[in-house]
Formats: sequence, structure tokens, C-alpha cells
Amino acid sequence: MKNPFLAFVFILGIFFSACEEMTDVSLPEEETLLVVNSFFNPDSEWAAHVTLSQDRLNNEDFRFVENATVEVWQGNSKVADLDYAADGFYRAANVRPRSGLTYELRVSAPDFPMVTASDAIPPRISIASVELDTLQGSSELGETKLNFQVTVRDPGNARNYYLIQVYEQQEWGSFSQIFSSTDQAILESSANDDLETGEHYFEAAIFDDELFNGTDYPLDISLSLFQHNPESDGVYIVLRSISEAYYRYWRTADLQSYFGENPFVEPILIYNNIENGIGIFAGFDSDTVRVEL
Amino acid sequence: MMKKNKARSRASLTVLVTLLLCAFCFGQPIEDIRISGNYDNVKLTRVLEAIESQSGIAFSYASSDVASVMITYNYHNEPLLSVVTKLLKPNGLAYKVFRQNDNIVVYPASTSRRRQQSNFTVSGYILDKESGEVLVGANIYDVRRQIGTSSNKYGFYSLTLPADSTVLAAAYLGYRTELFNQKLDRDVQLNIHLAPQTVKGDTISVENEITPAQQKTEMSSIDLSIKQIRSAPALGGEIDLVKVVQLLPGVHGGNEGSSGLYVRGGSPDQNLILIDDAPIYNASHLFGFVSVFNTDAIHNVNLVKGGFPARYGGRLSSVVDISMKEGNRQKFEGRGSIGVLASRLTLEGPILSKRTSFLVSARRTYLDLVTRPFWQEDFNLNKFHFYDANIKVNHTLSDRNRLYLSFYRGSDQFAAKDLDLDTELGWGNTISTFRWNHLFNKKLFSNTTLIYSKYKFETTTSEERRDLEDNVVSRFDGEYFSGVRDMVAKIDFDYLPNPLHQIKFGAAATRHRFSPGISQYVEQQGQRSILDTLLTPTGDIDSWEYNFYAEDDIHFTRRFSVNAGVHAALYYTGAASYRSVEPRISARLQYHKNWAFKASFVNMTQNIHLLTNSGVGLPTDLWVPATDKIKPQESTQLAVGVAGTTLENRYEVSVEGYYKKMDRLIEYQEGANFLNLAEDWQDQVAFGDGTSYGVEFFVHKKSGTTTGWLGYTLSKTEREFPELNFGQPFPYRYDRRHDLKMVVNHRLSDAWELSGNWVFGTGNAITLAATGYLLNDPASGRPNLYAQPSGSHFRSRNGHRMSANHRLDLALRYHVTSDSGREHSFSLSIYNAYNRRNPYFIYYSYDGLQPTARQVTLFPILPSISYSFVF
Repeated sequence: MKNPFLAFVFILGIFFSACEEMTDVSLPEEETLLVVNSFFNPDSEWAAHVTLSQDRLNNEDFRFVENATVEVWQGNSKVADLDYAADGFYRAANVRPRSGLTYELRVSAPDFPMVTASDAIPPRISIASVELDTLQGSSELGETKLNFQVTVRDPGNARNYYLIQVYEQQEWGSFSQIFSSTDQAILESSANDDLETGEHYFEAAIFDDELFNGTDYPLDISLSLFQHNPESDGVYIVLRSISEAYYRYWRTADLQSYFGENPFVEPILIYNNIENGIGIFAGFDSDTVRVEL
Repeated sequence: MMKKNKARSRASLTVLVTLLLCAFCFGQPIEDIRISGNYDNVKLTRVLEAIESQSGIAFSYASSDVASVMITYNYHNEPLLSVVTKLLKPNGLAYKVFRQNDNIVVYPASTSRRRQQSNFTVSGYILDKESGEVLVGANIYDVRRQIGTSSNKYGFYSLTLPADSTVLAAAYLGYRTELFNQKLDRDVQLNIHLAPQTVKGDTISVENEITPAQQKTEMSSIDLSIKQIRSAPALGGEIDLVKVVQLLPGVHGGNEGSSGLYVRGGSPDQNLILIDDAPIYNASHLFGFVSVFNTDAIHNVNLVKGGFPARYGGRLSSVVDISMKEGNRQKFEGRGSIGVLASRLTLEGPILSKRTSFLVSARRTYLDLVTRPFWQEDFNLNKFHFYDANIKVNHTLSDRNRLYLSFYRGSDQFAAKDLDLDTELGWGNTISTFRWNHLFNKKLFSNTTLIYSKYKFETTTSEERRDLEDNVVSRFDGEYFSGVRDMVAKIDFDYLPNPLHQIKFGAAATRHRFSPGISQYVEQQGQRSILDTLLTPTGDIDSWEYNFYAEDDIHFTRRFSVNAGVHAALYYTGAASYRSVEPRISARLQYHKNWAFKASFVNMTQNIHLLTNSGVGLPTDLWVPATDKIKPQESTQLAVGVAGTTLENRYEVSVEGYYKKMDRLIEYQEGANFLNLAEDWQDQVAFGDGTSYGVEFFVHKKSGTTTGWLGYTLSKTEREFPELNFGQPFPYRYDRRHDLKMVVNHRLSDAWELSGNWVFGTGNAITLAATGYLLNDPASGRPNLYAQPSGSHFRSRNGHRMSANHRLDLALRYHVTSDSGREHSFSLSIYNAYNRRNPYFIYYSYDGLQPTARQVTLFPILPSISYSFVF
């Protein structure tokens, strides 16, 4: 218990336990809603995942919606009909979204009101350069660290949002790598309450350009050499330019997942841009740079 | 001889009949008294003397008003008031009945025919006859002209009247009204001592002479006497001022058992709680279940929740102005109480003759000591108690100068031990006030005040471990503290040029020092230092605040009055500075003898914020200043209503509607963790606005053997923050659509008293996950099938209503006074008499992966006893 504030929590818990009484309480049953999740980008065909929400006290598996009508519209023109594939996924073969256009997703299912959502793919933003520095035994565990400085060329005309990932090609496919970062831009957008170290680990990290709007920003991330497969052709740095909706969904979902039902943390509402339902419809574009090791 | 005897017998019979009549008349309601008389060209003064001897009702008048009036009138067994009317009215005279005093004051019906050359001032202090304590808000007025004033918070009054002979009445609720024939041919200093109405029975009656609601300009303001507070049922037998204030309409305590104050949709930081003019920052003991005010040391409480006069500033929602007792100037007195939760003792009395008095009052809980034998093995809280102490000394230097020195210190201490871990926490306030009352002249009164107020919260943790292999002892010590410290210098003036104006003006300078969360860590392994860090995200923050105000309570006519003023503030902190000019106006239009229409408009600014975790109200909440990033909060409140009295002034009734708009409020951002000590609090807050509107009904019965009130509030309170709830408005956590309170105190006899209160309130709004749904991993775009539930969907922030709160509290008191004058009182209180399980909060509990919703209730039925004594 190295946070002295936890002493307060500890004593408070004991004090309340002496006088509190707990009873089961019934809550009003919640309406079931359509849950629609769709992330779209110019390199992939249209896809959406449609399920049903369920009462918070229901512990059954989520139900896929197999008989929905899923359409994508651009203004007054329908641009795609998505057909049911499997496991709740709907796809439109050979139809891909285009950057810069605002699309509307419309999903109808029997017994539910139609749900809609709109978003656009933001402009692709390139990685200007990646510099690699290898530091022997520099990690907490004495491992060799690979420090990448990924320079992001941020346009200055608007607020931009990003997601960064590191992939490595293994013989059985590409796998995202856990990386760490102490970069302020990433920490500002991440869920953390770790008092004792400034380093945080990510499978993917989001950030925005509030700290570097309109500049070339060198983003620092590190990978432990321990994770590296010497047989691979290097690591792939993926920089996604994501929409604001994407960023807000990720950030709030990450916070809610991280803090759970911690009574000392303000409740977190996951961002939702689906009218009459729940979920996310968000666009992104990406740039990838391979770094040989 | 026979004639002589007959005459003697007739005279004896007349005397006997008169005596019988008198005996019959005394104690009768004045309306029921009948009299007979036969006068032919007799002086009015003689007639009045005859009626006085026949009825027992005294007459007060200025001789000059009645000296020349001659009466010719016969009446037989006529009602007294009818006779008096017929005697006086044709002669241009009027009268006013003082039932409490069995007195009728006679005066000219019109004063306009007299042109006065000059005015003179009657001034002084209105005091309790038994203790010498000043009486705040006591009325004094010219009965003839029906104009008067009231004593200020130091008991001082000043009434300027035309040169004349008149009758003055001084009155105060619960005290016997005093009448004075006063010849005004020079300025007069008149200190008035009012006697408590009935000491034994405590039965209070209300007379016309106590200014009723319809004659006061102020609105949204309620005075509570300490007698009313003492008669309310008490949680754990501990009488609590704040919990009685919570029973008033427009006010509630948030959570059950809490001593918080939520006034008209405002948050707890928006209440300016003053004790002898000093602000108190944390008014709670025992994590908020008991307030810091020891009622034995309290003299008077005034709550203002709207229509704020300009003299108050710095908070948006309410002023709770508490005056400490000064100490008995007449005799040494002691008072004490032994209860389940705490005991207290108060000593007071005169020192250095009667020019100086003191009061010392202390209270300590001994819950930890009493319950220790019953602790289970795993109950490792080994210290929990609070104490507080009040000291006050006041000294009358001269007729023009008085000094007051007040001191308060209160503290809560908790400690727990678990294996190698020791934890301690404590919080408390330290307050000291020095005041100097100075009378410049009969019309100008000043009060100069120096204040020190400090609140500190502190928690420590230490852990010591011995490594069994190398026998090295490792030790970790952590400390966290936060707080606020104020130093204030201020001066206030009361200028009373005539009864039509009551002018107040003043200025204050305050230095705030905020410590919004400072922590220190020291870790050692043997002799080796591992860690020695002081973490101060912002460090101490100093800010300066200067306040100025002026207000005038103007009585344009007897029916129309206005209190208009302005409060201005300058605030400096670091590089930031803020200025505010806040207009305040309240108006009263008395459209009927018993009823007045009232309206007020106020603008308020608050330069400090309380950063509070929305789940619970705890001493860890951070007081933070406005900075260059965090702007001051502001509010605008409009209130309109009707106030008056009915059923012979026995019931005071008010209906008020209000609309309050609050800007630049702060809340923790979603996901902000108040345990995160490393992050600057300024980076964890969101800004937004709030609105609250509603209607309050209040019926208050202050007199008779049964007293109490009924209060009902219908209201709606919302917040709107761009960064919270996706920018959509959401209910305030303590939004309370319906709030009903009934408070009854019934005196069964001189010895027995029964009191009870029943409260009902809409349940609190909480943020509770309503549905679960499948999240897609934004990185891969694939659903996260392995987490159940994957995501929690909230209908809205504070979108779930817990069930309604309602509760009945009862108290039965037995009061006895011994032959030696010592008073003893025994109380049996039952908190939550029908054992209602009111929700404190709801959470999800998991049996494996299966969740269930569980409700936490804090207080079941809680009987308690207490014994009080006065010697």
C-alpha cells in the first residue's frame, strides 16, 4: 500500500463495514438495443458487426443479429448493402469506402427501431521517418530495448487523432507487439493511475495532436528485444489517422475497461455515435513503415 | 345608622363583586372580558384607571396624548375591547393590544397633525435578562407610529424617532414583550433586558409585536433558535444543528445520515458556513455523519438560501450564519450531556464583574472505547474518535466598545493496523476570531474582525518488513495531506439614519492558502535510502480576495420595502485575477394585512471550488482556488413568492418559486481518479453549468404546546458539461424532485415532550450500468468475445434513480427541575423508527461471473438515550 491515500480507503472501508447492511435489490429490466460496431478504411471492404445488448444482470452470451438489413449511404445515394456473413458480421464484397466522404450506416432489424450513424475517413497522415536506437540492458528487467522515434508529420489545420501499433511478421502470421512508452502525447490519452513508474505498456496506443499541432513530432516508443523474432523481416510501425469518434470510443472504452467499477473513479460512459442503439461507426486510414532490425 | 350600614354593605358588596370580577377576568382572553361603568365628563385617564382595576388589563400611553380628553359614557357588561374602541376612536385615539403583557397601548390615531421640529435616537442593546446574552434580530418599535427596527447580530439597535412621548415595545420570539413609556426630548441609550417567556414550560406564544414574515423585506431566509434545534430527534442521541437545517424546505443532506448541505441544487462547497463570522471548510465529523457544531455552544442560526443581502459573498447557494453563545454575564452556569455517541460539557459565566463573560464547551465521542469489547477479531480499526472545543470570551470595554474572542478546534482521528501496515488519518478545523464592536455614535455601529480558519486532512501509512533471509528491515512511510488556510481582516458598518433606512457597508481582505494534495514518500532498506520523494502537483497556492459591499433596507411605505445592494470582489492568484460586481435586490409588497408578495434577484460569484468525488462526500475532497485555468463559479438566482401569517399569527406560511443558473462549475472528468496523487488536479476537472428550479412550500407553527413545520419542495436540478455525458444535460446526483418534511414538537406536560420528524425524498440519481454489450477492439476491429460483459452502457450519467428515501425519527424527553434549580433531562431517541432500508449506494456483486445488484443501507432502526443537565 504505497499510496498513502489508500490508507484512507482502507480505514473508510472498515468504518463503513461496521454499520452497513447489504441486500439484493431488483433493478428495472433494461430495454434491449441493437449494438452496431463498424470501423472502416479505404483498404478494406465495408463490414459491420451487429449484436444485441442485454440486461446488466444477464450473464448469457451476447446474441448475434442475423436478420438485419445493413446499408451504407453517402448523402442520398446508397453505396453498399451489407450481407450477413457469420458470427454477427455483415460484409459488402468489393465495395470500399473512400477517404474524405461522410457515410451514414443504417441498420434495421425486426422489432427494433432503425439505428443510424455517420462518420468519415480522415486524411491519411504519413510517418515522416522512423529512427531506431538499441540500448543494451536498459529495461527494468535488464533486457535490451529497441527505442523507436516515429516522426509524425501533423497537419496544422485541424485536430488530428492517431493510433499507433507495432507488428511483427511471424511465420504463422502478423502479430501485434506489446510496446512501452513514456511519451507525454500517448500518456495524456491513456488510462493509468500508476504512481510508481512513468512507463506504460500498450498493444495499441491512441493520441491526439494537442501537444504538437502542425509540427513534425517525434513520438517515442520502445520494444523489448526479448519479444523480437530474429527470423522476421523486421517490425512494422502502423500509424492510423483516426476520426474523432474512433478516438473517443477507444479512449472511453479503454478507461472503462481499465478502471472497471472502482468506486473512487468517476464513472466512464463509453462514447456512442449510434442513434437509437449502441456502438461505434468510425473511419480511419493508415500508413505503415517497416523497420529492419 | 341604617343608611350608613347599608352604604357600608353596598361598598363591601361592590368591592367583593369587583374582586370576583377581577378574579374572573384575570387569565381570561381579552376578547371575553366584559366591563361596566358610568361616567359623566370624566377625564379619560380616570376611566382607563377604572377599567384597569376592573379588568386587570393595564393601559400605556403618553400623558400628553390623553390629558385633555374628557369622557361621558355609560356601558353595562360590554366587551372590554368594544368599550375601549368607543372611548378612544371619537377622540382621535387608537390602541394596540399586547395580550402577552395584558396591556393596551393608547396613542393618537394620526401622527400627521403633529409637526416635529427634531428627531432623537433611542439606541442600545437588547439582551436576555437571565444570561445577559445579546438577542439577535429582536424587534423594537414605536407602537404609535408602527415603525421600528431589529437588533443586529451583536444585539445592537438604533431607532430614530420624532421628539415626542411615545410607547416603545421590544419583543423577541420566546421572550416576554416589554413596553416602555419613552419621552423623546434627547438621544437616549436604552439597554433592554427581555425575560424568557416561561422557563419551566417552554411554551412559546407569538404576539403581533414580533415582526411577521409579511413585514420583512428578506426572503428565502429562516432563523432557527437553539431551542428548536434541541427539541429535534437526534441520530445516536447527538443533537445536530446541520441535520435540523436539512429539515427545512429547499435543503437536504444528500445521503442518509450525512451532515452535508445541498441547497437549491447547489453543491456543498457553495454553502458559506460561518461560525462567529469565520468560514468553516469542513463541517463534519465521522466521515460526514455528525456536524462539527456543538449545540451547547451555539446561540443562534440563520439560513439564507436566496435573496442574499449584499453583505454576504463568496458562495453561490446558501449562508449558514451561526452565532456562538457569549457566556452568561449574570451567573456561573454549567450544562452537559451524556449520550451514546458523545458527551459534552459547557461552562460559562461572568468574570471581572459583569463586564466580561466566558464560555468553554467541549465534546468528545467515545464510540471506540465503548464498542471495543464487542469488536470481532478481524475488526482492526483501533482508533476512531472525534472531539471539538469552543472557547469564547467577551468583554465590554465601555458603552461604545466591546471585544469578542472566539476559538474553535475540532479533530477526527482514525487508525488501523493490518499485519505490518499501520495507517492513520485525521482531519479537522481550527478557527479563531477576534471582533471589536465600536459605536461611533447612536446611528453608526461598526464591527472589526480578524479571522484565522484552517482545515487540514492528513493520512499516513507505514509498513515495516523484516527479510527472513538477510534480516534486513525495510520500511516505507507515506504521507498525504491537503487543506486550506484563511486569514481575514474585515470591517462592517451598520448605519441607521432613521427607521426607513438600514444601511450596511463594509470591506474585507482575505488571504487563502490552498494545499490541494501534497504527498511524501520515504522508503528505506536497512540503512539504504530507496525513495525520498515529495510530490506536489501544484504545491501550495496563495490567493488574495478583496470584498466590498453596501446595502440599504429601504422602507418606502409601511407596505413596500426594498433591500438593494451591491457586492464587489477582486481576486488574485498567481498570474490570474478576477473581478466581479454582484447586484442584489429583494422587494416586498404587502398587499394585505397578513400577506406580502416578495421577489429577489441576486448575482453571486465564488472564487473557490471543492473538487469532490461524485460517489461519496468525504474529508478528502479538495478545496481548490480559481486559477488561470479554473475560472470562478457564478450564479444568478431569481425568486418570487408570497409570505405571511395566518390564524392569528400562529402559522407562518411561505410559498417561493426560484430559478438558479450556475456557471463554470467543476467536476472530476470521467475516468478521473482521486487516488491519483501524481496528476495535477487542474488536469482532472471538467467545466460546466447547472440549473435548478423549483417551488418551496413552508408552514411553520412557532407557538403553542405543539410547534413544528411542514416543508415541501418540488424541484429539478441538472448539470451540463461539454466533457461529461457526451455534452448532454444530466440530473445532478442530488436532484430531488419531491422533498417533504414534517417536524412536530408537542409538549405533553411541563415535564414531558414528544417530538418527531418524517422525511420523504426522491432517490438520489446515480450512474449505474444498465446494459452490457459487445465491444469491438478498435485496433483489430474484432469483437471482444471473451470479456463478459465487454462494455457497460449507461443510460446517462446519473441516469438511475435509487428508491425513495423516507424515515421517521422520534424523541421523548423528560425534563425536571430540582428544588436547587438544577435541570435534568432524559431523552429517548429512535432514528429510523420503522426501520426503512434507505439506499446509500448500489453496486454489482459477482458470484463467479453472475452479477447481482446489491444495495447498501447504513442505518437501520437506531434507538439511543441521552441525559442532559444544567447547573
